[in-house]
Amino acid sequence: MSTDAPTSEPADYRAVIIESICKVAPDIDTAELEATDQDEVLADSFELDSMDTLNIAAAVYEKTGIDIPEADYHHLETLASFEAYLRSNAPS
Amino acid sequence: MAAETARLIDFKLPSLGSDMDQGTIIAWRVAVGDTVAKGDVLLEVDTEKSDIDVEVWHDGVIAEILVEPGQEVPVGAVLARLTVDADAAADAAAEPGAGPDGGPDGRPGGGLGGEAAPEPAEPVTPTAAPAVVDAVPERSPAGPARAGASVDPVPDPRLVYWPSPSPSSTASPVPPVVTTPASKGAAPTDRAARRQAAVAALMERANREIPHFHLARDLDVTDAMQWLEAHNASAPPPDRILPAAVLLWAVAQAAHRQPAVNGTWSEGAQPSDHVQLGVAVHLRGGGLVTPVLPAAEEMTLGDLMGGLRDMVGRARAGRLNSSDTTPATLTVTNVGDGEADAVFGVIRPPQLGLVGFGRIAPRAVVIDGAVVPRTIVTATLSADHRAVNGHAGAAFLDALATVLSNPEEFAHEH
Repeated sequence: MSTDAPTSEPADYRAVIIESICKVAPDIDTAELEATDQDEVLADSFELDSMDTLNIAAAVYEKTGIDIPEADYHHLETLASFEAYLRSNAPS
Repeated sequence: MAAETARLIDFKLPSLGSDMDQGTIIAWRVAVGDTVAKGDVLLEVDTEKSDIDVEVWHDGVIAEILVEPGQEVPVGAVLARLTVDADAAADAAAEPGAGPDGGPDGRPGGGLGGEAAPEPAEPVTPTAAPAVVDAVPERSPAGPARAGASVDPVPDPRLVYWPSPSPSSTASPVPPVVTTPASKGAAPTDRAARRQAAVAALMERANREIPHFHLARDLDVTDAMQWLEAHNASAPPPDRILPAAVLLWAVAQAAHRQPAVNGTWSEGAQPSDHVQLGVAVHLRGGGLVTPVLPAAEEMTLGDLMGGLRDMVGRARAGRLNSSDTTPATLTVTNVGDGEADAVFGVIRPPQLGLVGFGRIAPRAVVIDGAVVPRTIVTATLSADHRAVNGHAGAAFLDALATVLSNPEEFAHEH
């Protein structure tokens, strides 16, 4: 599937987030997710649970190499906060 | 008929769960003349709960395909015939995996009780049909003795619960042919409605037949959650473990130690050697499926987490495999991701019990006369009073408390 080695810094973290969520939750409509208000709480809108959150973190790790510790999961609450988190933790 | 030769075997629609009475063929993945190996997916079947990839448990060659995509057929209907060589048949029959308890690899049973094995290796409990039933030629003495191996396409009523007729299904034993093409992903709303109807019928039966009683116990998981936090802090996301996996693993261990709650009911309690652990999985947009982790007591915590992750993924993608549909002997429902403190559940017949977990949260607890904050989860056991008494139920919850209070055993490899 995807390569083990984290790719170089992707330009578009929003796309990484959308791709990761849709990968772990293929039952979520991509267009609907893309159209979501960036401050909407994803867990509420898309019924994401702890398994989804973990899988999303794993997918992001695979794509970017960014290792999101459990203690930081609350930063992943909305598209805006998720994107800001990845940007500020981007590999240097 | 073709059963003149012992080398031709029937491939039947297995019972993919106690609430399934029929399925609609979506597509064949093989054609007549194809060589297949044990474990290959032969076809996809649409059931109330999910699309299911149905695997074969023998090496052989497809001799005949008897049903077309779009056809709705009852459990037990012959879907295809396979030519197998006599050695392979003998090997398959000799495998310990045959039977409802599954093999050491945790796969569901479904071995071939051919001439090489006039009797099943282990007693077959009538309530636990093998997930895949490959019938033997009619003259085999093993045929009538094997649960679910009847040549009659009408399912044994002991094995399969036929729900009351619903708008979308009738309980007719004659396979009606549905002309609608069973295109993939068609009418998900209809799927949800049928799934709900199947659950409704099962729950009605549970409350009609099972004299439930409920026990609750607050479990101190402070040490367990600290262990988990430390483990996850040092692990990349793919290696992290969820609290739900710890609870499921603990249930499997406790049920192995206190087996009275682990089994099924059929004219008496039928205990199970393995903990075939059903897991209630919530689906987005509503709906519930309960796929099964076979032989969960043999799994390490890491194994169980991996199995759970894959299984939940399959359940939510609407595509289970036949291992997921191994008949469960105990089911767990976990409402911990929500905001409920405890759940007092309804047993899924014909199982003997259901374990429920509420949310994991800090609470004030009295220890040695002092009030201290501890991390607590309320575990409940719903049990069938025909088979389980209060003492045995309490002993199970006590075993669960013991397992969860010893996190040093979590990482122990078997």
